[in-house]
Parts: sequence; C-alpha cells; structure tokens
Amino acid sequence: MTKKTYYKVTLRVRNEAGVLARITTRIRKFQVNIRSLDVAPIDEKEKFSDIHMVLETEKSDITTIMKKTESLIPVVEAFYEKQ
Amino acid sequence: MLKTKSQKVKKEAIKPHNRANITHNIPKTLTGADLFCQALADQGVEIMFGIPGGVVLPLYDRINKYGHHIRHILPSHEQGGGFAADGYARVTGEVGVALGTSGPGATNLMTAIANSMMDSVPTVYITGQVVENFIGTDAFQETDVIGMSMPIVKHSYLVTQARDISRVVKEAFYIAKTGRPGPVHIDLVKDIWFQEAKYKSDPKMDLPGYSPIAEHCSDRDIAKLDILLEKKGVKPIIFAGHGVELSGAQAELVEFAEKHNIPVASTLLNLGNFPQGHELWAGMIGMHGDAVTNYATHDANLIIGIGCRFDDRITGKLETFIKDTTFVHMEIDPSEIGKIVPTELPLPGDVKDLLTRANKVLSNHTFPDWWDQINKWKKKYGFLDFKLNPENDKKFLSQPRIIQMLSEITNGEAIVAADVGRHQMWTGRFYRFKNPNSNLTSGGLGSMGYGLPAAMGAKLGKPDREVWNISGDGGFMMNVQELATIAEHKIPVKIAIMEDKALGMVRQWQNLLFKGNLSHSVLTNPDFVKLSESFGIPAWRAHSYKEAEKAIKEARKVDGPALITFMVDPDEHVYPMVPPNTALGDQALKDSDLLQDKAHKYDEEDLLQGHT
Repeated sequence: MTKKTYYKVTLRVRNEAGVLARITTRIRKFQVNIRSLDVAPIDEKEKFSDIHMVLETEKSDITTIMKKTESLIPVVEAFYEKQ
Repeated sequence: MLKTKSQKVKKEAIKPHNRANITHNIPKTLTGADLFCQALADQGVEIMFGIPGGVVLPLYDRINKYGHHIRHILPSHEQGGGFAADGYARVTGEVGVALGTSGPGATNLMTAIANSMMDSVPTVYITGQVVENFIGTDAFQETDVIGMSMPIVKHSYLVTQARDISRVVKEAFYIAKTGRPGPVHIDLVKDIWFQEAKYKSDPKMDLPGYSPIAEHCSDRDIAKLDILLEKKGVKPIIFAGHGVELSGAQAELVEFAEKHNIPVASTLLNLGNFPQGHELWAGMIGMHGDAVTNYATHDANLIIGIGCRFDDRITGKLETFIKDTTFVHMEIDPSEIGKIVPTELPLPGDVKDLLTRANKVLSNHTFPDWWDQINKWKKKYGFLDFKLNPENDKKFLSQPRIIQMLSEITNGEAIVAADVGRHQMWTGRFYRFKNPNSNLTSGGLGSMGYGLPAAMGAKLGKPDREVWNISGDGGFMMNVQELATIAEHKIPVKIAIMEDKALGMVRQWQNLLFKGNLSHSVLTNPDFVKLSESFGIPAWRAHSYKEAEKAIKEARKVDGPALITFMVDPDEHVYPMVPPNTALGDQALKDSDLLQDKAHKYDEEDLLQGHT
C-alpha cells in the first residue's frame, strides 16, 4: 500500500449555492479524496464562508491542484499545508 | 430612492431650462427579455448564433426589436452555432455569443464550450432553463446544464431573478474577456423573461475573488533572464504560444527575439503572430512540427515559454524534454506555471506587458555558434518544401502541395479555418500565415467538425477578409448541415475538402503503429459537388494540379460561397511525426523509421489459442 499524504486546506469562498460543488468538481478531477470537510460562514453578514478540508492523496505535491482551485472565481483565498 | 425637498430645489435652480434631466429620475422597468437584449447590446454584441426553443421563445419574441444592434444568425445545429461564435471570437478578439434552448439545445453546446475552454477563447454561452419551480422534477427538456458545464467553463451563472440580468451579463463578459480568456455559461430560467425589473445601463459588478492578472513579477525578476542568457554554452529557444495572439504582443515579441538573437518556435495556435520569413523563425513545434524545430528544441538547454502551456503535443517524452534544460515561463495564468515543467524563472503577468518591460530592462545578446548549428539543420530540412513528403501515388493529389498552392494564390493573407486531422497539421506548416488572428483550428480539444462553422463565424466577423475552410471529408460531414446557414445568408466562405474517403490521421496511425489494421476508418462520402449545388453553392472537383489551380481561382472569383473537393491520397503520411512516449529528437521522418520498432505486443495466433 503506497504512502498517503494528508493536506490541510482552508479556502475562503463566497457563501452561495453551487460554490462547494465547483470546488469539489475541480478536486475530483485530480482523483484526490476529501477525507473531512467543514464549511461555515465567517461573519454575521454571511457573505463569505470558510471551507476547512483534509485532502488525502498519494501525490507528493498538490501545488497545481491548489492553484487551479484558487483560480476559481468564487474562491477568494486559499491556504494549504502538509500534515 | 426619494429625493429630499432641498435637493429637488437645488437641481432646478442650477439648470432651470433642462427639463430632460427630470425624466431620467423615473425608474424605467423592462421585462427580462428586453433587459437581456439590452444588456447584450450594451456589451457591444454584434452577432449571436442561436436556435429557439420552448423556454426561450419569449426572448426570441423581442430579439428582432434589437436588430439594429445585434444580428442573429440561425445555425442548423447548436454545435455549429457554438463553433461559429468561437471562430468569430478568434478573428475579432471580441466575445463570441451562442445560445441554445434548455435540454438538448444546451447539451449540444457542450463540445463547443469544451473547445473554447481548451483554447482559451473569450465566449459567452447562453442556455434557457425550465421554470424555476420545475427545476429538479425532470421536466420536459430539463437538464442540469450548470452541473454539466462546471468543469469546462471559466465560470457559470444560473439566473432566477430579472433584476440580476444586467449585472450577470456584465460580469460574464468581463470574466470571458479578461485575464486568461475562457467560456462563461449563463443559464436563465423561463420565468424571468416575463418579470419586470429596473434597467441599469452600468450595473456594479461583484467579483471579490477575481482579478484578471492574479500574480505579478518585478523588473528585478525579469532582469534575472540576463544571467540565464549569459551562461556559458547556453542554447536558448523561444516557445511562442497562443498567449502572444490573445495579448496582442506581436511587435514586442519580434523586438525581444531580435534583441537577444534567439530562435522563435511557434505552437500551432501561434502561427501568424511571428513573421515566417524572418531570419529568426524556427518553425512550428510539436508532434507534427517542422524537423528543424524538433531538433533545435531537443538540443536547446534554455526554453523561454511565452504565452504557451507546454502541452503534451509539443513536449514529446517529458523526461527527455526536461532533462538538462532550464525553463523560463511568461504566462498570465499562474496555475499553468510549473504545471508540466519545473520552472527556474517564473514570470507571471500579461505577455505584452512583460515583453515591453523585458525589452527595456535586459541587455542584448548574440549566439553565433548556436545559429551555426540551426542553420545547418535549416539547410538540410528547410521549411515549406516537400523533402519529407514524396509523392507516392501520382493518381491522387498531395495535400501539402494543394495547401501550399492555396497559400501562394492567396498570398498567405486569408483567414484559414482548418478542421482536425492530417490536413490540420499540413495547414499549419504549409499555409504561410502573414497576419495574426487568421489561423483558426481546434488545438486543445481537437474536435472534428470545427472547420466549417468556425469559417462561417470568422467571415461574419471580418467580412472584408478572404476566408477559407480546409476540412477533411470526415470533419466536413460532422457539421455539413451548416451549408444551409451559409447558403441562406450567402456567407462567402470558400470551402476546400481534402477528400480521401478516410479518417486520415487515424488511418496513418493504423498503418504505421497497428500493422495496417484499418479498423473503421474508411468513409463513404456523398457526391460533394452535387451536395453543394443542391444548396445553391457552386462547386468543383479537382483530380489534377491544373484542375486544382483553376478551381481555386474560379472559386475566388465567385461572389458568394464556393466549394472545391480535392481527390487526395489516403495513404500520404504526415512527417515529421513524434510518436507517443518518444523524445522530440527521435522524430520519425519517414515510414521505415516507425515500422521497424513499433511491433505489435503479441501475435494473432497467440490470441486465438487463448494466450494474452
């Protein structure tokens, strides 16, 4: 069984219908598993939400995946680190 | 918005005579259908392609009232309309617009949307959707098109309120045109066509997550290129890609190349953006590129990518491509930098801006030894000659010779929309494009059937330029129904069909790599001349070069569309060819290069006995 790497990812996104689907579609394309997911609005006005994910993959480098996810229009910021 | 009494008095005091100002304070409400047409007109849309259907009938009821702004063309298939919008966008640099109704109309647009995405073409695709309350009930002609197009669009919108229309249209066009261009999909439910809302001529956009140029680099970063160019034994080459055309950086590229004496190699989509007669021209890169270019790329140790994305068609075997090579990448989309090749010097930004700054910041260089080597290759293999294309069967015509004949007769100044296949590769290498925005081809997706509708869209976008469509018979038949649209609007596109009764590129691979097992690559064609004449389009058939020359000259004289079918050799192979998993330097230049090594993995007798 090959070694699995875990990445902790935080995305700041617009709080709208379909935004999570856009992001998961983009991640699914790269055959990466979303091990855990949490999404909630960050303030009272509820215009933006934060998505916290743990990605599970055999890839050693997810820079391209993160850059492609960050380039999506509803995503405002993206952070990630290896666990 | 109520005006206070003091404000009202103030206004009248300043301009007592201008009564027109007062009427502008009354909010103007329009129906969704009118708002939508007006929003498109405000964005400067001049042509749109679409087919009406149940959920968009209220929109179509109002479209003709905006005929002085927007000309609507009815194609015979939504895919034809989508490709036409794509072709229009490529020649004009404006946003192409195509429309389909809900359900099947929208799904027919999917290939066109994917094509625009792969080649970064600014387009907006509009689809109708069933009444909002019926979404999710599997209503008549309902499909979840937003879900389907998500992976292949830059962004998409589902509009359910008429008050959002003006803002959404403005945002869609802004996203489509700026940064790295791409398709945007707008899905509008049927209810909004009847809803009324206030008209806003300049709505405020709300795109917090989007900035066209996401990353920047400093002049200090660009200056690092000097260090790379001054290394001992450096052999640089420029890979110029579609980004140069999208950014309009043709002059800056020439200046940059001349300043540093670097050979300029072009991807398929960049042809026409660097003068091919220039002494620094180094040919077309790639799987079927020029022999000189592939040898030069293989030998180079500094590759400067300008507006390209290092696609697998131009790298060949990746390990050999990367080995002992330094990469510099000038690119507007930061997610493309470092995606395929490890980049020593990433330079994110708009290519035109980067080259302008580079031309100011960097010092000049020359590479006389490197050019000695390249000139030797140029002498041996050349460009635009037939050293690698011997004529096998004199009974048939040879495709590259026909395309070169066309290039000479039109002086390389026409817009050429090629379909996909062997003729596409030969068009890239033998049609000597003199102008930018003239080479239309489905590069990234490689979708057959692209040529004819794209030529149609291109001619509507640039009616003063000559437009040719070069298609294989397979690709032509995929969107042959657009002959009806061409005939109806008398769009003067000149069509050249390379008729070999085969899916040519597939046949070449089957001949060379699958021991001649021609599995389902032979075609039955109609009589193209009779077919064309049945639409009222004059047509010719050419069996000899004399007939071909005569037909081309006659077709050019016709005031309207014309079609020529050339009877070409089905077994004429495109060379050079870099087979899969092979380094660029190991390119095949003739049949015997390939037939020796690539033997089938197992024998047929083994199969029959049950071995695998």
